[in-house]
Amino acid sequence: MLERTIYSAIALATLCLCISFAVVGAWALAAIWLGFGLLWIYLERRKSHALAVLGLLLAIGAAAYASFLGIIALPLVVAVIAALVAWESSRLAHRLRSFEQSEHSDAMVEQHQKRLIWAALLGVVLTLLASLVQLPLAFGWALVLVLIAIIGLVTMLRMINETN
Amino acid sequence: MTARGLISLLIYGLFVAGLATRNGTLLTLALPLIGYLAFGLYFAPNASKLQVTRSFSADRVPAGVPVEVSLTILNQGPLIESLIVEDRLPLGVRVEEGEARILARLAEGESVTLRYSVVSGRGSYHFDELDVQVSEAFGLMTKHAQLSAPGQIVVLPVVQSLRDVAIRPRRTRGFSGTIPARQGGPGVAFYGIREYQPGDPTRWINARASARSQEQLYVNEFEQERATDVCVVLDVRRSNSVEIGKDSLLEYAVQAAAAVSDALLTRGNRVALLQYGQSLNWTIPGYGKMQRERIFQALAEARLGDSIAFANLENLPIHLFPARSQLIFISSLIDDSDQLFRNLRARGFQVMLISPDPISFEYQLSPKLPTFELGRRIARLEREQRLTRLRRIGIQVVNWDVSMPLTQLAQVALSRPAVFIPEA
Repeated sequence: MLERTIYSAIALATLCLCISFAVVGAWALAAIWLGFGLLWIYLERRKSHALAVLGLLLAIGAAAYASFLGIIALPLVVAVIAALVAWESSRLAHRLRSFEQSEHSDAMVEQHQKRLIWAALLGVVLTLLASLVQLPLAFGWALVLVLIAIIGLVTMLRMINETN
Repeated sequence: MTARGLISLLIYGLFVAGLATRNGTLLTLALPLIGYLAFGLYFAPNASKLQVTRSFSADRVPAGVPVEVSLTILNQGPLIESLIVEDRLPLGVRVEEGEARILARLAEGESVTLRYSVVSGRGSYHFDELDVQVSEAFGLMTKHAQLSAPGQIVVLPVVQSLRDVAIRPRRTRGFSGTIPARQGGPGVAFYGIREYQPGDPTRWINARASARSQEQLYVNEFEQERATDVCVVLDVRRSNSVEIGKDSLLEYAVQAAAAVSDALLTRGNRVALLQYGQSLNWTIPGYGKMQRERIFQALAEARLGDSIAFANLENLPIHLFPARSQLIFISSLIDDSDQLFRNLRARGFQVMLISPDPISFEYQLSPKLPTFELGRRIARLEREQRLTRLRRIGIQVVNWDVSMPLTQLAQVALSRPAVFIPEA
């Protein structure tokens, strides 16, 4: 079940990015992504977790790059969500593999999958809501928001670490 | 980097890049990641209430025998979506089968049992804390804790069965045993002849001696066999042992102490054990199986140590030993202790010295260089000289080349009484 989710998610992310690049005529990027996606699936089939983090980073990087090529947001967001699902499922599979003894692992996988579906749906909903909101932003305001974001990041990470 | 850190960085990377380039799509790409992180935060585990109990398949085992460790973890709090329990093993214990950690999902009231087998060398091992990691399904928000589940296993030394330990102390106890008592009476070994007394069995009559006398009959007398007091002194001074890597001469000394104590207790003697090293570890004299357990427990915990007070054997507390009893020293005798042995002999103790040979032990484990060979020969000569001096003062010396099994040595050297070499 988990493996099927991983392969499907990688395939979906690859498909979305390849189509997006192909639409704007970036055939080389589409081919590279196709190759990378196949390699990722191949390694996952070999029970290797090696490309999961790189896959997520590259998928987000490719989606970000594609946004500058004038591609619409929806396929890119779907690609990012699919890559996130693949990465997260791969992490769980790796965690389960690394333990010789595990109890109620089927229930754990089931709950994980359900939670992941809900997280993905929340992502889609947030994206759709965001697409409805259009705010004109001056450079000064953008700078202020960046500063707030950086301070927020530091504060949040510190709070999380303290909680743990 | 943790998963939480990675996702946070990606979110802020996209956010900052989106604001800096005023590209709304980049901000949109961050939203699924925010949703994912929000789920992790929302379902972050609260304070968990876990109860752990530890049990062992056996808490006293001989060295090399696996022990199954079972840890039962009961969840008395709300559902734990992901629980990782990892047991902390004491130093010197290694996992033989299974794994000392488990991954589980525990509903309220549910329990899970972690099972694995460990093996270790001789010693007493205390298990205490285990690491617990509780997280939500994604493993983004984790709480770490240490839970206490104390337990102890004692790994006893390997005991080799010795057929006999030939000792002849000057004083024996009143109970019958196997030690020749230097007194005539019922027994097996011939002791002497005496005049016939009414009531003596006729088969005891010595025909030859009686024939020489016209008036009196003579009967054979046998040597009584009694139980005796034996004190085993184990030298655990670091300065008197050799350690090369993981191999230590102490292990052989402990093995000898265990075998000798076992053999003497089996034959009904009263045995005590004194460990002389960093401190004095005295196991008071006793008989039987309980005493065997006490001695083995003490031997299991025997460790090398140093102390200024016990730097040499001269400070041995002789008053602890029953008067004129048998002492069995187990020491590699690297230092010179002639004076102590003279004192002991002068006080009427019978002394046996079982000495695991440090020279052959060290030579066996060292590279065979020509310079080593010369050194070995000189050291051997010095040692031979020292042991000969001890033999001359009436010490029963058993030089044990540890490449030879103890049982083989016992057949050769421990099954017959000492040969006394008079001083020149």
